[in-house]
Amino acid sequence: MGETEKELLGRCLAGDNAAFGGLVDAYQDRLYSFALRLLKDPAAAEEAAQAAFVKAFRALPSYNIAQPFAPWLFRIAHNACMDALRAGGRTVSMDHEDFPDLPDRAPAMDDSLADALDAERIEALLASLPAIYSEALLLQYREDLGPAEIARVMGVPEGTVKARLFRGRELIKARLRGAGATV
Amino acid sequence: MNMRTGNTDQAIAAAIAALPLRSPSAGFKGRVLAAIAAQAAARERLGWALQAAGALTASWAALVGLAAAGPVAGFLADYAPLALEPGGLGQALRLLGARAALAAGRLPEAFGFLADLAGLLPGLPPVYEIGAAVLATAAVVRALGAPVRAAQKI
Repeated sequence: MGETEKELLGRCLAGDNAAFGGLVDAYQDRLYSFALRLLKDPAAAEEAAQAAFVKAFRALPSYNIAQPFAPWLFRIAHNACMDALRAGGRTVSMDHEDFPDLPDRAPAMDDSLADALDAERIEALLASLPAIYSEALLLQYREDLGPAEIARVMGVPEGTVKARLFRGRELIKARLRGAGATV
Repeated sequence: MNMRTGNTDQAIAAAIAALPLRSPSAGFKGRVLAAIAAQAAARERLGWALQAAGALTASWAALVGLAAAGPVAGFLADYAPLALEPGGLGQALRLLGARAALAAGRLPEAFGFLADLAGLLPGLPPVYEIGAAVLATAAVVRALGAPVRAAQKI
């Protein structure tokens, strides 16, 4: 049986650099998938994931082993992705969170539309959302982090995270309704 | 809560949770570990460079000390016998005072340059005009250099 995350972290913190390879093994797919869904570019995602691991290794001495590791690592990955987005000439609006394209009173939704949410469709819907919403949704549902942990990852207040989750879901529903109306 | 809304939220949550994980290209872990090793090597090189700079500074200090040892020894050779004589200490101190006064006499020459600079002050505009000009310039630079705040979403 392989070592647990805590054991690997303990070895890393004790100065055993080789143990970091085990952490890369454990997190590389999650971090890369997260970066890929935000950046929508495999090369940029790989670069961001690599930068996140390298920064994490360098910052390990400041990591508190009593805290969960995943939010700490995803916080670094979040920063790497934001750097990549800015380097690509895109900006992430943090203070003007509009709520575009949503009617005040949305019509009831056909359950069959929600039932038809397969991986390909939800992937496309997430890709169509502004990064601040897709990131919050991915961290909540794909990475199973709570609002407080997501707040630490994204560097925003918990209330903002809840608003982003709500708005992200509403945007997906609006787009599903739009797609349903055109059928 | 609207039952349908709840169902849809659950469907969205379940669909996102079931998203497949993607894998980076082959050799990703190796590249990460190589990048970490390269950084460690760079830090080690920096450490060596700092140590070399420290050694160079220490050598330079030793050289300066060595070069200064001659005059210091000469100074001590002049004053030590004098100070050892009865009442010689006061005489040595008076001699030192005379030397200090001689050096002080040269101070006006050393401050001549500063005095020349001070002579330029009356020709300058008043302080409040300079302050206003600095503020106006800073405001223009800020206005031109401030990033345009865009509500663009990614």
